[in-house]
Amino acid sequence: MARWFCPHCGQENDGNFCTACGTVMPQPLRQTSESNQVADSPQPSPFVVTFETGRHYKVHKSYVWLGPIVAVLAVAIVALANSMPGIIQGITALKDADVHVPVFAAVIGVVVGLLALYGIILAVYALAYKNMSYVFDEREFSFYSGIITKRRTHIPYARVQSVNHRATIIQRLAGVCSVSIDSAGGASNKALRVPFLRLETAERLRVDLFVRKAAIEAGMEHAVAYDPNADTASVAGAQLEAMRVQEGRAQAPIAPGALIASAPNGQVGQAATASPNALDTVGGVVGDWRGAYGGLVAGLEPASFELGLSNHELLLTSISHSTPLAIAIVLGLSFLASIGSIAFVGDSFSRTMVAFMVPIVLGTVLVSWLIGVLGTAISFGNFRARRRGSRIEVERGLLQRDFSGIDIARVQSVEIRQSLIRRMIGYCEISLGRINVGSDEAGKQNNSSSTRGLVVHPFVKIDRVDEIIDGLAPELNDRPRIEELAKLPAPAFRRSILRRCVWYNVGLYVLIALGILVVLVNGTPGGISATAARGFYGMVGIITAICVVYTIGRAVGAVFWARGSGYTWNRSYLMLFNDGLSVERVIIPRQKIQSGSTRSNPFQRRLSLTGIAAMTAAGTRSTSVKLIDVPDEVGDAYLEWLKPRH
Amino acid sequence: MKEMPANHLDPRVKNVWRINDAIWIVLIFACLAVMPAILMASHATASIGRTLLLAVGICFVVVLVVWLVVLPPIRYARWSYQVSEDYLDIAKGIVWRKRYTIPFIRVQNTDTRQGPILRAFGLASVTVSTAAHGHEIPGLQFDVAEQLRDRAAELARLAREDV
Repeated sequence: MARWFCPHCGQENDGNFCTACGTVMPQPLRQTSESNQVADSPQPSPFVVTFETGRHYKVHKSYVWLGPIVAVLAVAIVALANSMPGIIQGITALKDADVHVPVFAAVIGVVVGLLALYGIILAVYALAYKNMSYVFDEREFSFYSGIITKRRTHIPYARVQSVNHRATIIQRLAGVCSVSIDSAGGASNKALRVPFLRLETAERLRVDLFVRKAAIEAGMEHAVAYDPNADTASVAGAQLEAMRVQEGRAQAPIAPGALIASAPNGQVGQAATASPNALDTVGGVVGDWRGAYGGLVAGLEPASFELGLSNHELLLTSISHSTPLAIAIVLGLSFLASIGSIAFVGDSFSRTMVAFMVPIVLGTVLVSWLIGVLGTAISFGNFRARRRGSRIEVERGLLQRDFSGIDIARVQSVEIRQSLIRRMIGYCEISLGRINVGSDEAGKQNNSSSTRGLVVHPFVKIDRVDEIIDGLAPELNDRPRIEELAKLPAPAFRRSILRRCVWYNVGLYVLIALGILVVLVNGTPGGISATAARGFYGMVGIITAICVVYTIGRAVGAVFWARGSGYTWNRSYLMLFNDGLSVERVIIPRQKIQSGSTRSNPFQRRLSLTGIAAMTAAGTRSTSVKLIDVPDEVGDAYLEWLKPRH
Repeated sequence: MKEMPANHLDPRVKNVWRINDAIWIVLIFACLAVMPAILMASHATASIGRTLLLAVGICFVVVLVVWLVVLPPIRYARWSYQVSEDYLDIAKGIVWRKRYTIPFIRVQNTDTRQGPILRAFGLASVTVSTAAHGHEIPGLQFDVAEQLRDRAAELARLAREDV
């Protein structure tokens, strides 16, 4: 890698980061060598593509031998797990019978079996590979597949919304990835998935799809020029933007070009991420690892803004992530219940048991939590969110790498969330609501990121939120700020406490039912032994204590909600803020509100209150953002605001 | 509270609701009556079965009266809609009163639908779908429904936006 001078502090470096101040190496510097020579040569057509129109392209050949490896590994693991007890039984039985089976022969047998399986799957994959190809036609992209049933899936360029790619660990070693092309969205529209493309091909494919889409929109699809050696996007991307601005179709009040120009010396606008994190340093080796077939980085438009995670941000993201914590808590509680039931017996044997079990249980819970934390850290490792042209891109994952992009015009909402822990330390997560497509992939890993939009920063101090939104999406600059929030009227406070602690307190009623059940099952402790009675009172005591703590928690949440929640809107944006133990602030562009509603029950009507809701198309189906108990006239004004203006 | 939308549904929709709800209620209570009937078959549990059956029967009558006599007129009175130049306004709900504003520029498609019961009364329902959600207007006269659909489709066509 070439040496460069940090635009921030002047330090001379040769890594991806400045060793003195941690600034990410500016994108324009990364590719000066390639882009200069191309930019100077005259271009007859603004739309240069690197895939020839009408030609059949094959996916990468590693599909044939690498695909089966993934499949065989999965089969082997499942088979091994299932037959483990049988194997152990067999071995012990053989030992008892004093028959010596050469272990060596057994191992060879298994290996031969796996190889045979691999061979069969390989043949299938080879056949599939033969029939698999993709074509760029003048107006649409087609993917051919199928061994017996031949399939052709196509997406018109005009319908292409986002082109993402993902590489599993094994794919990353080879430098290939699977590309998914999303069309208009909705649960019924599955993404078109092209497996096993070289990273470089995937990047070019993405650029080409958007260049062709722009050509269609400009009515110039015949003028698309094919040049296999073009550094596509640095030329086409810039011209594409120029054309958009020219035609007044730029959604952005600020053209990306202007953004870059405003940063002197090609310096990338960057959030003040203090230092690269530990996994980024590993990322220097692993993150930039493009694998055996990855190829060079395809020329891309320079990013106008880029952010990563600092060490403590990554660490705290992982620690405060709710999934590992929830798993650990559930695990801990279930262990606690079993320990509790033993402890209440109270004789010396059970006491010893408890003394033994407590450290083991604590250890197990801790380890499971740590594994969860490590998994989160790896999945957010080498995290990058950047603004490139009209698109916001997020890349993450140390082992499995995910690339996900969204056009700024397709952002349905900006969501700022704080879980309880994050609220206590003043950090939050920023995500962009987007229309998700139903795909097999999304179903398989139904994690928070796929259901809750695109996370552009998993862990950021609450006062830096505006800075990051401005960097990634300067178009949203005229959004309402948190200071403009109008608070809820006074009656909302009483209603909130009643609602959370009495009407909608399902958890409490479940606990009470549990308590009654305990009493019914054990009977009254009159005629039973002292130890059993102790156990009985212990259980009832614990359940009562949990009830009290739970309700206090609800009450505190209710107070927070009533005090902090609010609403505001200006000409183009609605902002709804639901405070509480966990906090959710949603900013929705007016254009993205599909329909709005108010809803009131008799109690609310007596107090002249109503609930307001905005429906957006975010998520796989739709998302409704609500705020209850605003004054009636605010509800009316809100519906009035939604009506189209002239 | 601002004034309610001007248009009401066709009055015959009350009968559509009645028939529709009656079918559901009969089906549900038929399922509920199976258990007491089985109990009655045996001598030992006959009395319990009879009591249960009586309880189910009383519930059946009460539910039937509420859903067939009490609710339809109220529901009809509460249901109103208005097609303005560029948005659709819907108000409905008895306990939970809801008011929707659906700008036509967000409408993706509009459908009319006619089930067997609606057809028997010469009615149709119109569904106006945005990218997020569908809003159904049940029970309009067939030609009114057609007009509404055409109107909504045309207004929606005038301003199309990419979501």
